[in-house]
Amino acid sequence: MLRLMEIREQSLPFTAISQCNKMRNKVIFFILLLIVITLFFVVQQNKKKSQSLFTSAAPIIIPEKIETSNIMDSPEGSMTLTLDRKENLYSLFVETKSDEKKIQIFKKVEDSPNEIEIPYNTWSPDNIYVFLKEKNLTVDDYLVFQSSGALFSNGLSYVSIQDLFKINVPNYTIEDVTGWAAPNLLIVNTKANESDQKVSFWFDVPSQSFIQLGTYFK
Amino acid sequence: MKKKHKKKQNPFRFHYLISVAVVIAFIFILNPLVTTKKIQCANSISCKEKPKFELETNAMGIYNNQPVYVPNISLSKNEDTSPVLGLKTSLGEKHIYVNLATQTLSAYEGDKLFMQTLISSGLWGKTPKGDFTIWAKFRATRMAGGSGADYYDLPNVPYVMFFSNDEVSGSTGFSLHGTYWHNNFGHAMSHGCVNMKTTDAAKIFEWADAPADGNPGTIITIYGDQPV
Repeated sequence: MLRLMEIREQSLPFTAISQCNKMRNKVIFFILLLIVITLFFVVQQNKKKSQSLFTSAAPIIIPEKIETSNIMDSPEGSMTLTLDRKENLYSLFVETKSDEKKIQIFKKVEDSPNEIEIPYNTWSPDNIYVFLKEKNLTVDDYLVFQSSGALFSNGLSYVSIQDLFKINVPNYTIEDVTGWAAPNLLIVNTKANESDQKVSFWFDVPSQSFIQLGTYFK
Repeated sequence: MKKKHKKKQNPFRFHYLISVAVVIAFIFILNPLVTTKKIQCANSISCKEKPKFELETNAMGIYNNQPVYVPNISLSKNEDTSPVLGLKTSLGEKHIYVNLATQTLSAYEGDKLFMQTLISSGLWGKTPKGDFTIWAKFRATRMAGGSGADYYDLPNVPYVMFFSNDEVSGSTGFSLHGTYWHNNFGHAMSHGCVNMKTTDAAKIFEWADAPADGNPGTIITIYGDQPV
């Protein structure tokens, strides 16, 4: 076989070989040209990116503790939620600014070192609901109230998200309840018990049900 | 023999032409991808027509393809619906910093902190980073955009301050504004705008300046990387 190829090569006319070489050179030339043009555009793009990056001196701003408080206005400012603490007795009040009407919607004695906080996003966008964070040593709870002080169908003034979640979604653990995605939907960030998978749920307050989401709300 | 020779020459010329065509095609395909800036439209309304003050009564909005109750806005007497200048101060230059990593906004007058609060930046669309200036201020306007499950159409968006720079024009619709459809600040939640609690948006709206008399509007610096 090798011998046959040698014979064939020897039999090729010199002009054909040189034409083949020329062709090969042309192809190599164009491939190189292509690479150079591509590199040119890539470099240009990187230059633009680096130019458009923030250039002025950004200050190192350490945010103050604004995530929780013991008083929080509703998003448009018409109502105020206040959490009073006298030793271990917590009292929750809702005040309507227009008529200065203040009603107590909840009170509870917390065993030390448990604490109750008002999260920054406590108010639902339509001011119908509020939620509190109850910090416990083992697991935090999140309590949802009607701002009118009305009772839920369970006869209580609040709904415990942790209690409902444990019953309805036993394969996940709540990491945080961040705020309201819509007037009746609280965002519940969770982690799978058997893996590192993070999943967000919506807690629908009127139906007291959880809806698993495809998007994780960081 | 001559005929044979010609037949061998043609394929070479053909390859040559093909190579040239490939190079040219490659440049044409690559060029627009590289040279055009892909700034998405944060508000499809401002991308079609000049943004304006717009107020509706008893309207319904759509957010994440779900109906949303729209609060009515009652303007106070003599309230300017498209104000330009904010509060006059002598403390120094006004500068707004938006940190995407901490989802916070800090407004300074010189070295003095005017306000600091939590915001929601882009989740379904990216919030652009860089130095911007306020382009226009409107007491309220309508915003729409997204598609499918994240479609939104929101009348009466309160306290809107559109911002722009050389790369991001004002008409692309990026702005700081109040929010009545969610309350999840401190977490990315927008289509590219900087969402704020309405009371916070009102405070900064009254303080910051739009461009006037040759002076650019208040500087807005957006920096940091959103948590992944």
